[in-house]
Amino acid sequence: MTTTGVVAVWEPVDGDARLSAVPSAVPSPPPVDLRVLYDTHWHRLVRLAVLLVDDVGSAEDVVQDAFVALHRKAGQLRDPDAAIGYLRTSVLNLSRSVLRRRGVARKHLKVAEPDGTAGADHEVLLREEHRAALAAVRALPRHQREVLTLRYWSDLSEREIAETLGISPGAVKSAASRGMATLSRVLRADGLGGDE
Amino acid sequence: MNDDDLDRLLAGAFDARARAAVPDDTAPPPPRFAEPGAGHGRRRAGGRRMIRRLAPAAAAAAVVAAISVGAVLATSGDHDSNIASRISAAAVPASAVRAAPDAQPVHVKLLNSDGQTYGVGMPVIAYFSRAITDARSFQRATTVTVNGKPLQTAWYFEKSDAGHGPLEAHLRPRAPWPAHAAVHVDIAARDVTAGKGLGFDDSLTLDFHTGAQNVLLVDDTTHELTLTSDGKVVGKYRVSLGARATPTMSGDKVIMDKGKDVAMSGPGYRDEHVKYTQQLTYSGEYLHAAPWNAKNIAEGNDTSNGCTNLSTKAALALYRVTNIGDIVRYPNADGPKMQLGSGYGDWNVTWGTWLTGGAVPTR
Repeated sequence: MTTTGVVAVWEPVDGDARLSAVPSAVPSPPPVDLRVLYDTHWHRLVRLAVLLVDDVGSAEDVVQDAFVALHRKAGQLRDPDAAIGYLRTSVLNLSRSVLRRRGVARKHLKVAEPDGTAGADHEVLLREEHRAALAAVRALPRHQREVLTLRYWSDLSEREIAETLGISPGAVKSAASRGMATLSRVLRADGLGGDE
Repeated sequence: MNDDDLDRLLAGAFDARARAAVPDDTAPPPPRFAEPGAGHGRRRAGGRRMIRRLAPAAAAAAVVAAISVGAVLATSGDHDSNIASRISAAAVPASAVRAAPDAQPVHVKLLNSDGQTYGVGMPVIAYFSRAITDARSFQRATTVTVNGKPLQTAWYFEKSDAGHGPLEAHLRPRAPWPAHAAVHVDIAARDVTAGKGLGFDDSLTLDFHTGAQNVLLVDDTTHELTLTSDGKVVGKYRVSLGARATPTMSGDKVIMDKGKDVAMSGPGYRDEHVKYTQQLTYSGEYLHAAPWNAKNIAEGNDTSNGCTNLSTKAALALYRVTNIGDIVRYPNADGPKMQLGSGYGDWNVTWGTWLTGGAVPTR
């Protein structure tokens, strides 16, 4: 058998399509244990949310809500990897909602902005260069911030980031490179870069 | 500052910030999903509703609200795994027949997710809350573009055992989707007739990308799997297919699901950790690593329960390249011919048959 030409020839040999219900010879794997997932991934997910929404309270809420959403479909969920991917995507989406609500509240109620300094209690513990880097990341457009957080904190590949955010790998690449270019410029202006 | 410095600085800053905010010894609070009433959009202390949950019927009426909470809806909507169901406000298409005002509602859901990259063989799969009796208007209400250009596609209906209603339909073009393309599906079905006394209550859109044109060709004569990607042969891998009593089905299959570590069992065996699995049929045919079967894989003996056994190295190599929706061809396997409902058996149906619409006529 040769492989050349296989790609081009798609017309099936036999056009007689019957609908058949095939008995299941292989039982499905057991459903994912949500409690185990919660205990093993809580820290990592809350930390991811903190990096996106800046305060621990909101971050914990986001992770609770992500697990509640997963819980609704837990019966059908059999692949722990898929569950983690789903949780991660939920954390991203719910974090966006937190930021959006905060933005709306700021606009309409004219309350003092909490988030710019929300992390300050923790950030005094950080080194100067880390504080500067985080401030610069916070100033990036939302998409770039998300991509860089998933890449450098969650250690995801371009493809995994694309899946998490529901965008194309090309969009991930360009957001990352634009974000990095901005950071490089800003941080160099801050005098952190040393000499080239 | 060079790129490496910046990489290190960012990783270090994120790590320091994350660990300062949530130290390792922080005990997680009790999970809220374990409380009674979780999952039903309960109110939190403080009165702010955190989870927005839109019932499908309410969702249809709340187009404006849905647009403003689009991101939330995607994760906490009322839908099952991977089901994307978005609301569009389009009017009944000119060529479709409007449902009677007192028609019973039929709700449509899609298996496919927005933003995913699928293999070129992936059908769009719709589930229907009631068995419809006329799909002509549904077919006319469906339009598809690939990279912005219209492409002819057709629905094919079958009874469904997937647990999402009595009926499912698959949408596909004549030949597999173009590779590396953006596909937009618009189903303007809301208020369109679904047969006498039946009308659809939702319209949907779906946007996905296709990956490379991967074809996995499994030859039961040479016991070799050849992976072709965008027309180039990427690799050849030894396989062991189904034994005489449990032969592997022949025909064209589609990768339905992928898993890094899956428990499998069947007559006489149970393995909690089968690696790099790719599901091909509902009956449980997979591509997977079978390190215990190395000898038969090397010698080309068909010994499995129907699965395609691979070395761990080969299974991983395939796992890395494939997308859900890639086509796996078994032109000469020993088993019965793959049927539409055996999995995503779509590519075993001729286009002429496909155009009839199957269980519900589309023309």
